[in-house]
Amino acid sequence: MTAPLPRPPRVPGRILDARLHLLDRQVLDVDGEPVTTVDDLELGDLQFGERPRSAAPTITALISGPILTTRLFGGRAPRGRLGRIGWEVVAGIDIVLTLGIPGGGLEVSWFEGWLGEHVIGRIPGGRHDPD
Amino acid sequence: MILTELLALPVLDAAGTRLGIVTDVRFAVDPDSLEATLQGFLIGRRDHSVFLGYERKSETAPALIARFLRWRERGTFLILLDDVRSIEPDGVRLRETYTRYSPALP
Repeated sequence: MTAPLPRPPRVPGRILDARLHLLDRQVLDVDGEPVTTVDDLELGDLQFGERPRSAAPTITALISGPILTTRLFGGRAPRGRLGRIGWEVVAGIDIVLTLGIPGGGLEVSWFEGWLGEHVIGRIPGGRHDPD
Repeated sequence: MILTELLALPVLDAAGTRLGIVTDVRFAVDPDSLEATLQGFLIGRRDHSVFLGYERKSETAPALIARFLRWRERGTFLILLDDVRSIEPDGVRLRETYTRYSPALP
């Protein structure tokens, strides 16, 4: 029987594991409207190569994009097709992530806006809420 | 760098011995500013190693599932970022001396 591993030194703040607590979580805007889901995270101050002891990388953005096919078949989606929401607008982390701003103007929601304007909006009745 | 560039990277000690792969990345979130600072990497045996996180929590129910998933994720450990010497596209290399910590969440 092996000895139990020691606990890591305590650090202030809430401890989260990225895959367990952040990835695939829904993102809501300040009005509670769904914006997207968290497909990936951008880590600032972290590059490939030797790592100095002093640097403390942080999450700088939520990434969202067409990652279903790359998850199924491998590879990576081109960076240009990934949308980015700056971490500084995240206002709450719980079962869902809440933003402190409206989601309408975010680049991750442009496709939904385009679809609503050019496709759904042309269907009769597509420009108002159901009666 | 984005997170998925790190996940599933092999982890090697200073002698080049493979210890496992990066199965998750741990952050400490400041309760006021919500700044999330990278603390370390969870190292597991295989890439299936994130499923409900029983190996990191104290939950024991449902008992059969908890015991099975803990057994399946046995050997998972936490490496702090200070023990990482370099991160390369083909693997994470640790310093000469490093400490394996319990993966349990506080």
